[in-house]
Amino acid sequence: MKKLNSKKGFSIIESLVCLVIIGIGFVAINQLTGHAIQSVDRSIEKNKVNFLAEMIIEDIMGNPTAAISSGFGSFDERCTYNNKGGNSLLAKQHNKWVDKLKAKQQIKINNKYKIPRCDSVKDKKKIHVINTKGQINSNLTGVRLNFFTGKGKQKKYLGVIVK
Amino acid sequence: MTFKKKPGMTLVEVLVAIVIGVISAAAVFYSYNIFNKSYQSVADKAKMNSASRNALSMILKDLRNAGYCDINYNNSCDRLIEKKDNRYAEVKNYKVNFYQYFRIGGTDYLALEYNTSPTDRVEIRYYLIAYDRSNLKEANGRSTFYLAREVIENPTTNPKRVYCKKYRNQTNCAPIMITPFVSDFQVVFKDENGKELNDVCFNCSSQTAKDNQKRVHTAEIYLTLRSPNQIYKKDRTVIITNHDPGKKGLRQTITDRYHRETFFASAYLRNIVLN
Repeated sequence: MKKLNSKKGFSIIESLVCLVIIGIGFVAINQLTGHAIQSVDRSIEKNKVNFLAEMIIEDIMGNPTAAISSGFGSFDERCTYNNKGGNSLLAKQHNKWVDKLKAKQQIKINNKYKIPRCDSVKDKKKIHVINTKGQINSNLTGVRLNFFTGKGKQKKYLGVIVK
Repeated sequence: MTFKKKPGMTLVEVLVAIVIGVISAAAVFYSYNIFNKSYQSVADKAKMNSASRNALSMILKDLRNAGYCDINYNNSCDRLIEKKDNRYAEVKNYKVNFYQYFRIGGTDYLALEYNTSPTDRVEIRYYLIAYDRSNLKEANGRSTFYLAREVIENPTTNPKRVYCKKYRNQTNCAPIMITPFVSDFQVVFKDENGKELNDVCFNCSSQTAKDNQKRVHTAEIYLTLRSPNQIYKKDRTVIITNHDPGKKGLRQTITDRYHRETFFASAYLRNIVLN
């Protein structure tokens, strides 16, 4: 008799604790899926930024006069982009870059523009165009584009020799 | 007679066990649903991303080549680049081949030419076509479009379409799909002063529009894609402008559960400018 009664098993409290632990695991996995969606969104954003960087380089190649007179060197924009006046090609190109990097006038979802994430006004996320005339070779004019992406820690460079 | 007390579970214990079992089964079912949905939205977004990258790189490559005329090419190279409104809803009815396609009003039609060798020249066209299949209609009956690419060899001297089932007989020719599920496709040409050029064509009567071909300096492409499946629980209102403010272009307002993204690319048309 005694032998039979002393059979060991899980008590109800033990099984409840077990359930809670499994529940916590589920919550963690649920958060993981949200993270997966976020990272796909980020990769879409990076893909767009890739094309935008290409746009800037193409525009620089299409405007060698400004590149030679180091006109592009003045373009140094942060999160708070502002359009500037001017009717020259250079001014229009600057405004175009500003608009496109802001994704202005493209797609509006539930009355909000999809603007790329920007964390702070300070040096995070910045585009900086540098004229490298005479740096590589005194006869060549090159332009370098510096991109600070993400939270401003990752730097990307793109370069082109214009003339 | 004595009954031996057999050790077992009481009714309460059994009930509690059932409740716990049901709760955990429900949790598994609920999270299966969530995983499934999030997998679908991740897969759809990834598809859109790679589709846009492929399409835009292909268009950019063609744009950079646009207008290239080989130095040994004997024929004239006056056909360079063209942009038209796709609004004519032209119906091409290849009854013999049982093939139909529709161009979509409001979106753009891009065509360009370049030499692939000293003797060969190709014309490449990009435009949206509506899917024929009714099961691909969106919830409000709106057609679904795809971006098509059409290649014509030697368009002026000996035109031959490339994408055909029988190339030699030129039968069953149809443009091929390069991007599925497209909501909008816009092309903007700008001249060397950054001003927009509206009429640029090689197949038209207006001499200004023909001359405008040589003034094109930069081409901008807007491509808005939608996800293959509905991935949102609630309706969302999407406004697609895809053009500089206050200019021409199609403005669409769509309310549905699809995800949409606009991809933008711009190219310097070096071969036209250097012509």
